[in-house]
Amino acid sequence: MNHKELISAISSKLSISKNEVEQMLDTTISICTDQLKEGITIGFQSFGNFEVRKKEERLSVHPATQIRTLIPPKLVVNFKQSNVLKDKLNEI
Amino acid sequence: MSKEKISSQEIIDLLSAQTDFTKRQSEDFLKAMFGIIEERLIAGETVKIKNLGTFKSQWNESRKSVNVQTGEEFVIPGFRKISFTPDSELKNLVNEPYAHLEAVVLDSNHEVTEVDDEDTEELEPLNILTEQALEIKGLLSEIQGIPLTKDESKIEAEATVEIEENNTAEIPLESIIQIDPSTENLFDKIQEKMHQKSEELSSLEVVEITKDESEIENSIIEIDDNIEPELIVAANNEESKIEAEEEIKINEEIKIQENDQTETKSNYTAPEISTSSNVYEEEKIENHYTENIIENNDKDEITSIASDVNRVSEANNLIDNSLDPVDYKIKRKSKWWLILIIILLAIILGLIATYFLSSATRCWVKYELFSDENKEKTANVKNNILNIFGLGDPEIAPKPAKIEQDSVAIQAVAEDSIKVDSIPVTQSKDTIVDVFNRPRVYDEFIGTEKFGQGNTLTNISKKYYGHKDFWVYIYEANKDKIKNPDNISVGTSIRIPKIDPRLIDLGNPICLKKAKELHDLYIEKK
Repeated sequence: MNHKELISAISSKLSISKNEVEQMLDTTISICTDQLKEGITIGFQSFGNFEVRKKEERLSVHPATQIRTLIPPKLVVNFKQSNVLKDKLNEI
Repeated sequence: MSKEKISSQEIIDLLSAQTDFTKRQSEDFLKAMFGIIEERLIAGETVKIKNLGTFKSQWNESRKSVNVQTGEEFVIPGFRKISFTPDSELKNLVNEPYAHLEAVVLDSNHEVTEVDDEDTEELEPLNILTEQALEIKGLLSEIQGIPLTKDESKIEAEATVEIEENNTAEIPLESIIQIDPSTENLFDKIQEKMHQKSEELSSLEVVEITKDESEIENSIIEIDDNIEPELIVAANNEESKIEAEEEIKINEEIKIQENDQTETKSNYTAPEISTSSNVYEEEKIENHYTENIIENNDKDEITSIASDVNRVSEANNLIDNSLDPVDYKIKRKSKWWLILIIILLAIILGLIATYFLSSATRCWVKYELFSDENKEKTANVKNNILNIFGLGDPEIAPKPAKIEQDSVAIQAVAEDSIKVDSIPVTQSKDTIVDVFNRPRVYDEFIGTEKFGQGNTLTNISKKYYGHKDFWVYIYEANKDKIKNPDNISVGTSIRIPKIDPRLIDLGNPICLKKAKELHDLYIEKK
């Protein structure tokens, strides 16, 4: 399922026009990214949490060439599903 | 990093604020959106949202684990989970504060300095290293301190420094200073003497060297080419000639072998020289050979030369002997002087020798290339070279009768004189070229082979002639049966021609070259 399919699905479910859905979806995503950029965790009830985590820098050694490389620290978005979703998933 | 958390309610507020929709609409929208995503994920689909990322439902296999507290083993049952991969845009946006950092390839511990201040653990080895380096520095400065102070305390020349170095600073300063004046005087004297001696030596040796040089060059060129200007020069200049003979005598053993080889070659090749001028030259050369023989027989002359050489060597020895006592004195004072003097002597001699050697060669080259006589000869040589490559003038007619005589004479001479070497070789080359240029007639056959089952032309060639490249001759002999050498029908009987052994001489690179040329010719033609 891609972006367009999602939009059409939502519009049919809520009986709103696709344009409006697209507008809302884009706004939602931009809000989410803005929040995540600030390092704020977003929790959607019954879905899960979007969280920014810091991956510490580390020394990686290439197994074949033995070249040691220092990987810098970075921030990544992590998603953790809620228990509700987990249960729903594993019900099947 | 702040660990703030906002819930969906706040998102709804923000959404309604930024769009024209009411909070209710926004809430509905969000619910619907996540509902659909959930639904799809539970159905096992992946959901891809632009600018946000991809949600994927993932099956985690059941695995064994250990209860940390009790140590009991238990199985974590397999479960499905949602994995979220952020879109590259989101990824970059989130990672902005660290975007400037790049992976650093570490070659040594020094690059650990680039690590952030946070990891002090990795900096510890660096600190240890720097401490060690400081220690080593201190040690070095201590070691260097002694010679440095000595240098400061003295104005004496290298001589004293030499002693210091050799004795590795064990001698106290005062003693060295006491020794210094005497040694310095001695040093000066020795140097003067050395210069005188070396000059004598060099003047003597230089003459020898220049002579030797010319001789060596002469001999080399005689072997390499069939230019004999040196011979003529030698005829004019008897002394140098005799010396050249001396040279030859030294190398006789080796050259006799060469002679044998060339003789065998000249036995079956009727030596042919193309240009009349060459023939003329040959005669000329022969005259010189006979002269040489006569001179060779005049052993008196040679012995006199030998005695001359002996005298020269005696003189050298004398000089060496005269140097010896001086060296001995120095030895008493310090054995290092001896080494120093020997090195200096060697360097001076080497420099002079190289200078004269180079000048001699320069002179010789000039003479060789720019004298008129030699120009003529080089022209002849060029002709010969052209003949070798089959490009010579067609009018060049071989004169077998004359050359047969010549060859007999040469063979006679060959035993004694070394200078013959070059001529038979070139003659044999010429004849081979002629053999190649002559149209090959295949009327004698040494066998027949059936084509097929690994019996290729190359294999047959290898069997009969010893090399696969000679298949071209088989092909030439069977041209009536073989239309395309690459495509011969199986069962074709091929006659193996008898080929002039000179054509398939494996030891002669010209044969292989010629065969390759023919090969290219036939393969292209098809």
